[in-house]
This record gives sequence, C-alpha cells and structure tokens, in this order.
Amino acid sequence: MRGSAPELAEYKLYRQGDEARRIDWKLLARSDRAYIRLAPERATLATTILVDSSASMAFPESGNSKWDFARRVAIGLAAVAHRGGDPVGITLPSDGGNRYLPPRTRRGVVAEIAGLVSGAQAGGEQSLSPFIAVAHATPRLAIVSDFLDDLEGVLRPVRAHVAAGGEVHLIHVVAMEELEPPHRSMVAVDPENTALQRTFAEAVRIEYQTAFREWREGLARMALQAGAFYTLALTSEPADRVVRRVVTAPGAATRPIG
Amino acid sequence: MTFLAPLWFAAATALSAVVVALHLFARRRPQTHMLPTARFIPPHSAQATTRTVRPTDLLLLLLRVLLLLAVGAALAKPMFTASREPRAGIVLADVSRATQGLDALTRRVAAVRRPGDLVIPFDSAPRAVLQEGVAPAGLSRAQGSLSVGLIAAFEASRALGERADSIELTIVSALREEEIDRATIAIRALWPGRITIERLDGIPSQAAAPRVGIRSDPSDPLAAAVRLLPRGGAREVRVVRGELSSADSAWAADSGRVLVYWPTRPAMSVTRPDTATGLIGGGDAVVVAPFMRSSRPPDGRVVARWSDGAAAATELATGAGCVRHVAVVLPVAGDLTLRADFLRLLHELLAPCGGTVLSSLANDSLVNQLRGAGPLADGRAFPAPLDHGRTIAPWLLAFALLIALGEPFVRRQGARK
Repeated sequence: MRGSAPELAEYKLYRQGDEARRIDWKLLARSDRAYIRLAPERATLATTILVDSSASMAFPESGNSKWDFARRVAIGLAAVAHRGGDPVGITLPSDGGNRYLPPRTRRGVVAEIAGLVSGAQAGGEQSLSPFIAVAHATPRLAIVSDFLDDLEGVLRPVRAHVAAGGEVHLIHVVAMEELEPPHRSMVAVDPENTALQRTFAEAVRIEYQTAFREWREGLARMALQAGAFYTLALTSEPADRVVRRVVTAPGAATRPIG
Repeated sequence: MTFLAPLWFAAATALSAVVVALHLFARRRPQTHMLPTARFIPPHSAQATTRTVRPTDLLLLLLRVLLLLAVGAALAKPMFTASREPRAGIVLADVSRATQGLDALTRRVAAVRRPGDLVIPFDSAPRAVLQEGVAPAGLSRAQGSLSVGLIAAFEASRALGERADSIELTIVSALREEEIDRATIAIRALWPGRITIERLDGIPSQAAAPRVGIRSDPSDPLAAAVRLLPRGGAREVRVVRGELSSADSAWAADSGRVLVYWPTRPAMSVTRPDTATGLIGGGDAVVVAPFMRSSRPPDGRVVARWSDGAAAATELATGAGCVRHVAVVLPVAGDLTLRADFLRLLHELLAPCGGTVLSSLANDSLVNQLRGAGPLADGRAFPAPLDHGRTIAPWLLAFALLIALGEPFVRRQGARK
C-alpha cells in the first residue's frame, strides 16, 4: 500500500480495502487489471515490529534460541525499513513490563531498537493479540513470533488491520529442535502451559512431525487468507536471509520494505 | 584362584544379571524436557512409559555390576593356591629321653628328609619346625608323647595339603611304650595314609635292677640292704658311705651312672634326733622310723623329703650322670634297713638320673599298627586353615567401597545429560 498523489511514482495492485478513488482507470482499461497510484511524497510507511517474547521463544535453552533469532531478525527489519526512509518502531510485550518504541525516522533509531531488544528476555505468557489491535494505526506491521499463542486471537486483529489498509508480515520462527526433536525418549512439557506434558518417543516422531507440518501449513494458509504475508524462518538459517525474504515477499508492496 | 564359599560369587553373578536386565529392559519414565511444540505430540502417549532397549548409562551399569561382583567375590573368600606338587613330607623327630643319642637322630633325620620336608622335633610337646638344613638342637629328659607329635603333624598337613597331592609322614624315634598311649592309636587312625617308621636303636629299659657297688664297712646296715636288692642290670650305681673322691665324681660323669653319696656319720652341728620321723621318697615309698637328720643336702633336685617337707636327699647332675647326696643317718642297731618299706625307698634313691625309668621298646605289633598300610595320605584330606594370608578379600571389599562411593557421582552425571 502506498499513498496517492498527483505526482505519480508507482503502482500497486488493487485489493479489497483499498480506496477505489485511487484506482488508475486508464491503466485498468489498458491492462484489464486494477492498479492504485502511489505518490512518492507519501511512499513512506510507518513500520512497527512486534516481537513475541513469550516463554516458548526461549527454546532451546542452550544454543541458538528462537528469541535470539527473533531479535536479530527484528533488528534487521528495522535497519532495512530505516534505510528506506520509513519510520520504524518496536513493541516487546512482556509480563514484567512492555517495551515500546513508536515509529521514528530519526538517526539512531535502529540502535535504540537494538538496545531495547538486547535488554529484554523471553518469558511469561503475554498474548500478542492486544498489541496487534493497538498497532492498527501503523500502516505496516511485522510480527516476529512462533505463533504458538492463541492463533485465532492473533489472526483476528491481523484481518482487521489488513482490512483497514494496513500491511502485515508474519515472520514465523521455528527452531530446528522443534522440527527434529532429539532421538531419545522424553517427557515434553509446554513451557507456557506446564500442565501439558506429552511423552515423545521414536514411535511418535512421524506423527508429531506430520501434525506440526500441517499446523504450519494451516498457519501460512490462514495468514494469506487474512491478507498477511507469511515467512517461515528457521533458526538454522542466517537472520539476514530471512530479512531479505521478508522484504521481497511475492505479492507484497511493489516497492519492498525500505 | 579358588573360592572357599563359591555360592556367594554365584549369587552375586546372578544378581548382576538381574541388574543388567533391569537396566536394559526396565520400563521407566523418560526425562523431562521443554518443547514448545509439545501439543503436536499425539496425546495417547501422554502418560506412557517407555522401555529402554538401547543400552544407555553403560558406565553406571558397569560400576553397579562391578560392585556386586566385588562384594560377592570378597564374601566367597577367594584364595590363591600354589601349584600342587606330587608329594610333601613331614618328619617327626623324637628328641625325648627315649632317644639314645643326638647324633644318631640327626643322621637318621638327614637321611629321610627330602628338600621341602618339614621336620618337627617333639618330646612331651612339639617344637618349632626346623628350617632346611637345621638339625635338632639337643635331646631332652622329658618323656616323649607320640600323640603330641601326630597332632603337630596334622596341623602342619593343613598347610601342606594345599600344595601337595600326597603327604608322607615319617617318624624317627625309638618308639618306647611310654610314648604310646590309647590316644596315640586313635589319633593314628585319623591319619589318612600309611606312616613311615624310622626306628632308632633304643636304650635298654632302665626299669631293670641296677648293678650296685657300695664302698662301706662290712658292718654297714646299708650294705646289707643293698645286697637284698635285685641285681644283674646294665645300669651302674655306686654308693659311697665314706669320703667322696674325685675319682668318684669322674666315674659319675659317664652316661647313665648314678653316684649316691650317703655319709655314715652325721655332721654333729646340725644333727638332731627324731623319735619317729617319716621319710618320703620321690615315688610311693614312705618310711617311718627314729631317723637322725644329718646336715642339709646341697640344693638340687629333691629325691626324698622329711615328713615336714625339708629335703632329705638331692640330686646334682654331673656330666652325663649324677650325684645324689643323702642326708639321712641310719640307725646302726635294728632291722630298719631290711624292712620292705626301706628297700622301696632305697630302690628310688638308686633310680636313674632325673628319676627316669625308661620303659620297654614298643613291640613289633604296635609298630606295625602305627605304620599302617596303603598309599600315602591324600593332601586334599586335610582341611585348609581358615585364616589364610594370601586372601584378597580385603582388597576386593576396598574396591567395592570405592565403587560405591563413585556410583552416586556417575549417576548424577548421567542424570544431567
């Protein structure tokens, strides 16, 4: 989504929720596709990065945790958006006190974001959905999470945000240890719900992996249906590659983030 | 290495097998780990336990098995046994008064002794085992006891039986009747094999009457008494009623000779009359008569006492023989010296030196009974001594204790993984 102005800069495919008055009718007549005109003076999009800091993000306890990976991705996204001239801010929900930095374009905002995320720790059971709803004023919202929270609670404000003309990116962080649990029997405990305990053994490995894969596919499908962009981010890959994949997501804005 | 109580080790081995089985196949609850995606695990396995078929914690298993085996082995009393030889020997050397000469005994022992054989001297008690090449130190005047020697041989056999298939027992002795009693025959019957008898030439029996020579006046009443004693024995006794000469002492120094110095007149200074005094000999002779005490005899072995306990006659060793001093003044008048009780007392005063009266040599029938027949004694027939210096049980227990101390540490290390 880009703003419209007399001085045309770029076009973007029209989709439901866009203002009909910004459709370039001539271009529609020529190409049989509806495009919206974007004006360069309004091509900047305020971006808020919402990073999930719930207890499930602190997995695995040793090594490259999802939380560490999510922080690197968040800083990368902030840097890319800032370089593109977009105001960028961050929200870190936490049981011990939320951390919030509103979108800014000033120099040094990326460093502020880096300092903010560096001082935060993953833990607690803070839900993301209230923060998504609050961030509706931000045109672009990037959510970095494992989405093991109440998924429907997350997607509902996402749909509303998209319907209101916003752009939402879901960066789904998955640890390799979740894809391929260790080859030994164990009692698996959900860190956000310790009452949930399941015994994992080789006999149920395939069953587990199938269920997890189907859930991820369902999440991606629901995200797309909600009009959001979905990016799967494995902790085993470099964070900058994930950032690049996010900003070049097919179907995203004609001019990528930043 | 052998076990004295192998059932303990067998039990420990069986228990170890159970421990291994439990370790490998026991159903156990797996360790708990955080997994945010736990919800995707099928719920039907939520409370299931898993069966560990893969060998894990092998070090812990090894320690536990070693602990059990070490304790079992220690309780089973492991013993290191030397390689067995076909034969071992025990030589019983009779050094009692029954043996005539030390040289003859030493030569005979050296002739029958083989390398490694134990030589045990004995008289009334067993002596220390003689080292290789060492001869008996001397003979004693004690009465020998073959029973004592056989018991000593049994004790020695318990150690020899561990390293020898057969044990040969050899007895080097003159074998007098006094050395053999009823217990001897019973003990001999317990020896599980034949016995080799090396019989020494024995001193003739000293129970026979001595050949007595007396130097006194013809009217001496003691001379009349001596004439009444039986005669004709090989043992020589000289009675001196007058002064004692150096020739007499030299005569007494020869083996087996007895010189009896019995002064006729008392020393006036100490003589005191007794109206009726008992004179008690070393055996069962008692004479009651109006004796007159002479001077006190010199200190020595008392061979006769007055009724109040004072010494009346003593014996002093001189060379291989002895001299007896009798401080009893005999009455000149009367027939005291001819009475039977006095003759019994006189017989005791003329007894061999040390009061020994050697018995007769054992007859051939008795010797054959002692010798027995059949093979040598089987070494395995003798129970091994309980306390054995070569056991490693304490070391095994120490090893087990070390493992027991280390097991919790290894267990905790395994739990952290």
